[in-house]
Amino acid sequence: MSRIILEDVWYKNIVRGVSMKAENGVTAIIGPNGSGKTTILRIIVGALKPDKGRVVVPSRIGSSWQNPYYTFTKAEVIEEFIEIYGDKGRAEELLKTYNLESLKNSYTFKLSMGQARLISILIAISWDPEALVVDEPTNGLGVREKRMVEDLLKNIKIPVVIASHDLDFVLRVADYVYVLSNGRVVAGGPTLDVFYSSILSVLGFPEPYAVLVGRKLGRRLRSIE
Amino acid sequence: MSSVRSIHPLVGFLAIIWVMTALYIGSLLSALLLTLILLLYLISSQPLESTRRLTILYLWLVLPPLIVLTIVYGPIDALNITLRLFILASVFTSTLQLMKPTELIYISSRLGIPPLAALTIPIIIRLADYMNYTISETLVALKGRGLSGRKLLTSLPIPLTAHIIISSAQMAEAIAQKQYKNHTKYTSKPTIKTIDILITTYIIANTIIILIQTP
Ligand SMILES: Nc1ncnc2c1ncn2[C@@H]1O[C@H](COP(=O)(O)OP(=O)(O)OP(=O)(O)O)[C@@H](O)[C@H]1O
Ligand SMILES: [Mg+2]
Repeated sequence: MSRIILEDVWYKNIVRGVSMKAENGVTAIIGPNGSGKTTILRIIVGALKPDKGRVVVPSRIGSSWQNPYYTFTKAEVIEEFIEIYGDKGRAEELLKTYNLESLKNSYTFKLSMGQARLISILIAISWDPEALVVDEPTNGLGVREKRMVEDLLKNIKIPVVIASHDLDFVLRVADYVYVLSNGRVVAGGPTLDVFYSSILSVLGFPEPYAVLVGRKLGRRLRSIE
Repeated sequence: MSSVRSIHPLVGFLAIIWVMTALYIGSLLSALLLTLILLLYLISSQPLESTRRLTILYLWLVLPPLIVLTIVYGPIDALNITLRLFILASVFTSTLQLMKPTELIYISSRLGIPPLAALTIPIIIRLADYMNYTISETLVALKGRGLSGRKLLTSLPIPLTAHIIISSAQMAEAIAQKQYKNHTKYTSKPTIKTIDILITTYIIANTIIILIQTP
């Protein structure tokens, strides 16, 4: 089983002594704009070398980034998957599985942002990597596409690390959450623990709707008791 | 008015045409000199960081051909060819970066060229400045889909070119739209400055010298 480990990782003054661990399942990094989320993902995939610290990662890491169009190397969506699988039948099957047959012959560079992100993530997991990194997985995605990405990330059996501002999505998909502020991990733990702690409101995050309802229901239940 | 240095668009185009002519008739030295003047003027007008990136870009442009050509043709010919390559690239990048978009639109609208078309080329050139960053972003994305080695390098131009064309078109469109709505604000009549007179004089003088020398 592969895993991702960062130990006291420093990069310029952007990442300051970050330690985290990701095993099978989804690990989410959340934090304000500019807190260093993308930088950490780039360190994980080896695009940036940390000034200090230990990074343990598998050699094959799939990734999808803020600009999904950079992933594309073919004119049509179907060609991308034929390239990866070397087999037209399998490529078509995959698109069918995700109900994306309508995009089969779309021009990759003309896809809408949400469609492009979805396809980019699909490409990133299709070459059978040992871990997956996705920056802002739900940026620009509609409701249906969000559900698809959620299913996708939940069901693959490798460590997945995402960076996201979408707390509702993180609550649904992540097993583990790290909260980043100014390049430091200020909280980390199982998703529900982090969401129920006061750290999010301290950092000024709005509570996800579900957490809000949960809290209110909990109070109501306690008062009934 | 901004204090950013610029050249008159017509002088810019004149410089491009002249340098190409000079190269064509073999006046390497005078083409080089004009190119250097333009480059120096450009460097003095922009922040150090942009110059640093421009230098890296030129190194990328010049070193690989120099090495390959040295192996194939020997050092003298290699230097000769690379120098021409450098001159051509510099004269295009420097003049296009030194033209003010607003002045360019002013000229192009009088030549019957839509602003969109007039802007796309200089914007593509300006993007060269941010190319290094884009290249590294693209490399990371392609590695993320399992490409490596030769396959990675041969695939790189595809998303890169698509990105540059798409974003250039988008930027040109955005600027062109602005200028349609606000015609007076976003065009400006080009002014003639000392540098324009200098370049024009240089070109005329050199043309005369060449004409005299030609039997
Ligand atoms: N290559 C770089 N060199 C120097 N500084 C950088 C570089 N890349 C990013 N930064 C800076 O590092 C900080 C963190 O950037 P990063 O992109 O990691 O943040 P983020 O948490 O992903 O933000 P966002 O939520 O906006 O995506 C920012 O202040 C940014 O300006
Ligand atoms: Mg980011």
